[in-house]
Amino acid sequence: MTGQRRNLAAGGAQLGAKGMTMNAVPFLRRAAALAGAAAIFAAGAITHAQEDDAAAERLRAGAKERALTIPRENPPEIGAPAREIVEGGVNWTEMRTQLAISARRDISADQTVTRAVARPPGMRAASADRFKSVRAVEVNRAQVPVLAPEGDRIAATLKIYAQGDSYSATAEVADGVAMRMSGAKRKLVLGDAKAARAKFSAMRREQRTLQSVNAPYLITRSDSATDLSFAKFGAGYVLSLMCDEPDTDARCTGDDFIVGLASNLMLLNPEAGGE
Amino acid sequence: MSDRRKAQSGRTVIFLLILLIIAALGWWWWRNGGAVLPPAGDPAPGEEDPLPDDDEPLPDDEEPADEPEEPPLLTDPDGAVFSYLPVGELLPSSGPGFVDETVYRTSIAFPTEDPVYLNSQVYRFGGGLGSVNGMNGAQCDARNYEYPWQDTFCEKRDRNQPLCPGGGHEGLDIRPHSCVKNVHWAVAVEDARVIDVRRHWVTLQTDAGTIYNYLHLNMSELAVAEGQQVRKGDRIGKISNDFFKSDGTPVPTTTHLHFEMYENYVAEPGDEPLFTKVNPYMTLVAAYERKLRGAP
Repeated sequence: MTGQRRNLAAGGAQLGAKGMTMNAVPFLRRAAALAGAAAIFAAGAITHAQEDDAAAERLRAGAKERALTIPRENPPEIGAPAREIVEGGVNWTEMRTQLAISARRDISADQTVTRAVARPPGMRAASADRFKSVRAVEVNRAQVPVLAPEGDRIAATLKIYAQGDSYSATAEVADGVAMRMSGAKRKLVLGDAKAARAKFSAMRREQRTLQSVNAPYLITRSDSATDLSFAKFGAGYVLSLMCDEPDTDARCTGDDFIVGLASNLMLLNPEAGGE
Repeated sequence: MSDRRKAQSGRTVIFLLILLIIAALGWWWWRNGGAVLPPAGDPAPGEEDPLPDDDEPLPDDEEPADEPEEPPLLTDPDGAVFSYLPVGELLPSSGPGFVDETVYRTSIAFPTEDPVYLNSQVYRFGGGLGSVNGMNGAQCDARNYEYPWQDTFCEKRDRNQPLCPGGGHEGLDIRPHSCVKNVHWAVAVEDARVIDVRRHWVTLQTDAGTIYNYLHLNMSELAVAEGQQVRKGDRIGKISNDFFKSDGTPVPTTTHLHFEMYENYVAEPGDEPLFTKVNPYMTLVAAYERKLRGAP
């Protein structure tokens, strides 16, 4: 028996001059074990996938059974239609009063000995001419108080689009954050009042007061924006912040930043609604 | 070890390897729905125009059943019967939903030109959490491109907000007619102004104040510009998967239109209004119904 043959008999394999030695039987056993384990894994994966797919098919079948269809002839009314109202219009007097209150607060703050660094929350008049991207004709078209947050970056990038009963102001707030502030005087009375009332009462309980305009506010968050909503002067407003990282950026995940923005508002059409 | 045992071990290994290959092939075959490979030129899943089961043609020699005829149902241009699940009925474990039967705008156009499928981008085939309900697969899986529609408003997200307890998706996800991006048009639902074009969204606002957000259009090929006045039915952009941070970094998502609607609303006259996002599901069901009947 050669040396190589003896090694094989001992359970190993030697490749002699090529310098590589292999123990054939343990290798085969390991390979067999590996293949067996893989086969078991594959069988498990198949079973799991079959179960998954069966669950998915049950869901699809159930959905098809429960689904609503619409007859081609004499269809029933779909959903609960809302109706639009304009009640009372804009309270321009309240707007001017709020402007005066803010002005008095600013004067008092200026006269205090300590001269607080931050101005008190408020709503201050601002001329459209101050902003390079704002067109006065847009502001003048708005039949609703045009509000937008203060801030250097906002002022530099602010745009206004107005359409009579509504407006929107858009701007960059800072790196990674944009904003839109919209107002509208027309209102919709919801069709599904039962659902709405239940939801509204819960939502209103969470409201706090926005000091700049002395109005309760509500914050909501979604995939695209963090929104702060409030009603004032007979109109509804919503300030939306759009963050690059809505799930991790504290400016969108927390309330402080958006409340801070809404606490110092500019009124771009202080002369609107005059007699 | 004898040559015989060596050979036996070798055969065992080969046998197990063959078993493994058969198992893997079986698994692959089963995952593909038991189908053989499509011949070259066949449309990819999702690009097909699927026929509903009840529209399959009967063999020539088969007599029609002598049963009372069902009233004809509303179908889409492909002949598929349109159906939808009730508002607020989301996929299991995908969030609380929000039941709101309100049709906020009763005469809007539907926001797409072609037939579409409203369903989850996250909890269905190809979604990051599709496995929650066993919906493993790819976004172009044909099963994503079928009726019934399903609501996704208040689908679970990690964002705290009062309307969707536990955090939620305050919009609806609309799959275009096929999973091919940059083909299917989104259109203006009302006469409106384009008030914002930024990153991956286009925002419209109407005179009444309603705001419509269109997300994930192909932003490099929009048919509108900021400040422009659009008419109901005007093309805005092609449905895509654009999703960007403000520095232009892309974020992966599926090909779909994320559609949002803000309204200034009250529960009853005299209430202080809330200007927030609303669930547009029933508004879109009603608009789709009108569209299928040929209304502009």
